[in-house]
Amino acid sequence: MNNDFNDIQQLWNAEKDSLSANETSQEVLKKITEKKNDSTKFHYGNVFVLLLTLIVICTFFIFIAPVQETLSRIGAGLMIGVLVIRIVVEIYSVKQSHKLDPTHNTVGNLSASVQYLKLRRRIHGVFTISLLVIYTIGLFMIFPEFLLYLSWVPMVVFYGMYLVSGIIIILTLKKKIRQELVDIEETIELRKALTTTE
Amino acid sequence: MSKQDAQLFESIYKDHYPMVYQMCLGYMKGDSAQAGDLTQEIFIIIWNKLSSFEGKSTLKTWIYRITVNSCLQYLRKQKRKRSIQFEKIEGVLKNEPTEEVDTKNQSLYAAIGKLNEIDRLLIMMILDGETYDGVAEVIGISVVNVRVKIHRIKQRLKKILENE
Repeated sequence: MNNDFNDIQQLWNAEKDSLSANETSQEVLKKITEKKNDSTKFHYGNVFVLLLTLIVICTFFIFIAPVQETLSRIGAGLMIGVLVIRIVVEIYSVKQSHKLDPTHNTVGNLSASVQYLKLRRRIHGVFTISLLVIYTIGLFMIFPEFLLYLSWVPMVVFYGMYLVSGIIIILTLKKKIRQELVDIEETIELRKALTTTE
Repeated sequence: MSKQDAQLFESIYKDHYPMVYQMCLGYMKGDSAQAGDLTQEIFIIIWNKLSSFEGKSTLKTWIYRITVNSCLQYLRKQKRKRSIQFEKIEGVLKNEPTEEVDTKNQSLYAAIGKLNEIDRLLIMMILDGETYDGVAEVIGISVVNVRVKIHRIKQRLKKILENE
């Protein structure tokens, strides 16, 4: 067996000697700068979208259609509050993802990954769906006052479109949760395979 | 980016590129395109984390840790992004050899590629001349556990070679 292994090792070392980089370190450093910008955009993409939605909603309720009824004001407050909470949670999640340190040993890194994936699953699961329900309740609380200024047809179209979007969001979240569950299971399996002696 | 950092990175890149690329090549069963992407990702992490390297372990051990962790994350991340064909990733995860082997020693990567992903990474470090203590430090398990695992992987590899 050792002879076989020594043969493979010799082959391995010979192969290594023939491998050389296609790029210079300067070219790699240039790509690193580009990728770093992409990575920041990717991580904070959700935060940006949520922030934009918050700005649009605040502008709408403050400058375009300031609601007068108490029920409507509570509704608008719920909608804005939900978005603020979701933004804070998303920033927290991004910060947690930065704590995953690939310079740690593999078992430690896999354990940290499991914790992070569980956090993401909680965020995408009960938490986001609860927030979506509260947001919807808020939106429907404004409905009676909107009806004073708008006719039934555009109102039904608007709320109908909202409900369809809500269903699409829930279905997307369900898909994401399923994928995250698979990731958690796979990561746990990897950790188990490393820590046990079979 | 200081000139000193760039110089240090240049020396790390020059000295460790073949080691990292070969591990990626073995992990990706000889698929040079994916191995190249993965190698680039690893050097991005090395650059980003270079200032946090305190010298508590050797530079080689530190780079191995990044390489092993990145390899294990890579396929899952790709699957999430769905930027490459699902069947191809499934094949790599389930130890089915991929067709895109374009290096000189195809049989070497084909044999290693028949091992599961953990075994592939462990045996490649040993092939690269890393000690059992070093592998234990990279993975975070006991030396005894490494010894047992490597013994079994060598047996599996022998069987694979005998069947070829």
